[in-house]
Amino acid sequence: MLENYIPDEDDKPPIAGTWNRLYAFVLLLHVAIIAALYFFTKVHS
Amino acid sequence: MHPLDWTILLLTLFSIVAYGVWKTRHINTTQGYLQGDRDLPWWTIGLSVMATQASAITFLSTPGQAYNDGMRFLQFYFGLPIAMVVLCVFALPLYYKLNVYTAYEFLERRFDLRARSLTAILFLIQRGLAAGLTIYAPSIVLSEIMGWSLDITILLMGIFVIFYTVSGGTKAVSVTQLHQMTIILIGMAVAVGIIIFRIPKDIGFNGAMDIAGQLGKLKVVDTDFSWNNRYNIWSGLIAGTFLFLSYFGADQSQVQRYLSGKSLAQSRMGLLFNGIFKVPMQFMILFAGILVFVFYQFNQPPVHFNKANVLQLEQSSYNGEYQQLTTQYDSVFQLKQTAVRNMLAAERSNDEALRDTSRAQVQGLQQSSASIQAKVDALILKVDEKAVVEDTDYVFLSFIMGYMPIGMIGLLLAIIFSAAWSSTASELSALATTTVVDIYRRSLNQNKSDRHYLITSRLFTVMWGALALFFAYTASLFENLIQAVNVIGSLFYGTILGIFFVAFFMKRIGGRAVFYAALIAEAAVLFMFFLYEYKEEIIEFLGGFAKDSNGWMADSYALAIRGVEIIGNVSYLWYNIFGCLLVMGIAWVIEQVKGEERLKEKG
Repeated sequence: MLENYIPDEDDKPPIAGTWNRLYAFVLLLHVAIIAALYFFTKVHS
Repeated sequence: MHPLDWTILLLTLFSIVAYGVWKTRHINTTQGYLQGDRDLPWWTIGLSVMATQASAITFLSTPGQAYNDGMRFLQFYFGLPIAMVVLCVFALPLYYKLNVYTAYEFLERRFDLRARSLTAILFLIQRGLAAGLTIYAPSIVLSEIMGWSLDITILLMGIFVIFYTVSGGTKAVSVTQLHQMTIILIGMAVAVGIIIFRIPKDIGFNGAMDIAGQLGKLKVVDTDFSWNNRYNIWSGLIAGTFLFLSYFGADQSQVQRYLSGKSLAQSRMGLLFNGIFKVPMQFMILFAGILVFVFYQFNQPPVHFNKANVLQLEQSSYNGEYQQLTTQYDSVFQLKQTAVRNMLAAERSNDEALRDTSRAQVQGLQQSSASIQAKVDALILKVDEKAVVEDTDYVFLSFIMGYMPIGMIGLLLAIIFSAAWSSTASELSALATTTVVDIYRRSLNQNKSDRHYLITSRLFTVMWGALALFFAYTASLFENLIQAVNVIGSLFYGTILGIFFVAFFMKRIGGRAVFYAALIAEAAVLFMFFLYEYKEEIIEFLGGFAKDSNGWMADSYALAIRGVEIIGNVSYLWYNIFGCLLVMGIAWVIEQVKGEERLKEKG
């Protein structure tokens, strides 16, 4: 089914230009949050 | 409660309900009722998705969990942003392209009617039970803290939400959730601010952090892997991702939220918004519990947080023993307060030896407190053997009622009602949609008028609302409410996710293979849960047989006991992975066998 899907070219995100860039941003932000929480744990234990 | 609290509570709740009903007064088609005319912007979708997941239990139970267990529960949400991205890439484009009402419609196009109906029924069982708990859990806590009758709190939790969901359908759910979530976020932020303000001035925010850290409450990330440790970074990232893929990708209560978007881009943005803000929001809620913990290091906490249990104890013949224990508890608290101050002073003056001694003293006194609390729990059980002594869910509400200023109590109760209503509304709307679209219109009563299906949808919403109220009235309290909801989810989500994974990624597998694989996998997951719940009883039972046997029989029993020990140790989060992998693996095997049979027939 997936191979039949043709992405809509007008379907652009309002920020970051492309969806792939936006996904990368979300995932990198998540990595940064986990790293910050890891640091938070180390500092307070 | 003060009249101002009542005014804030009633005004907030009724204005949101009235707005939802007014805004959706023109809904008169089945599509409008079930899909909300698909005109919502991304911020409404994002807040609606968050509001659906964050039930009242989240705001009652989570701070209490942090109070007792620290912040490690946050790791449970680490898989969520990953799941959001995966769904945006694979599932959303397909759902939009096929213009489906429910996620299960897609399964018929990919497999057959059988796979669609089975998945829809698994969803209806799981979500129907969870809806009862979503109403029951906050009702019982509110009832016991406020002294209201449980019947009344259940009715209050259920009746208004049924009214506006029946009236405006999925759009009423989304527009009310936008306001409910706004109230929730503002209210929680103000609550955290007030708790910080209530910590003694000489301790301050930094001191509070030092105390919580020294007492092990700020361990958010745990990198040690263990199968039976529910919350570590690995279970969060791996099993959590599977759980959230299933919850957001295959649970109609969430799918319906983002399918109401104006466009694919708006729906994607809504999910990514959830992916970015969910972990920080949960951090804030857990952090509120940590601050309450620090607050109670300097203010006498009750020996037991559930007032109803305490009242029953005070009116019993065990009151004398209870009063003695309370006096002991107060003395331990005074000693602990001094020890905590010493620990903080040592920390501030970098005197490591004194800090370690003071910390050991605080920990010893904490154990003494816990032992007195255990004795009180035992007394409560002597008075009423059916009483629930677990009081985690009462910690935060008890704090709100005792220490929040006038006005804030009303606002925080409005948060709890808003959260309960927003989750329940999504659940009822999704249950009705799945019943009508996947079962009634598809298999029982085809080719009727749009008006017929609109009326039927409203009737099914009322039916599911009534069933949820029935479950709520007959349910008994689980050990921990938020875990109970997640356990129920994990029992079914793995199988549902497995069916969707096969649909998306295993192109050669057909409907029959996935149908039987799903049945076997679900049975296996339920069996695992049975072993988890009754591990000790089963081991004792098998041990009895092992004692009386010898030779290969004894070896077999020993092997079975070892198997029960291993499988019975697996925490519920992992069921999501096992269920999913089992469906995929068994479906693949069945398809291979079928392929060989076909070859033989041809040969």
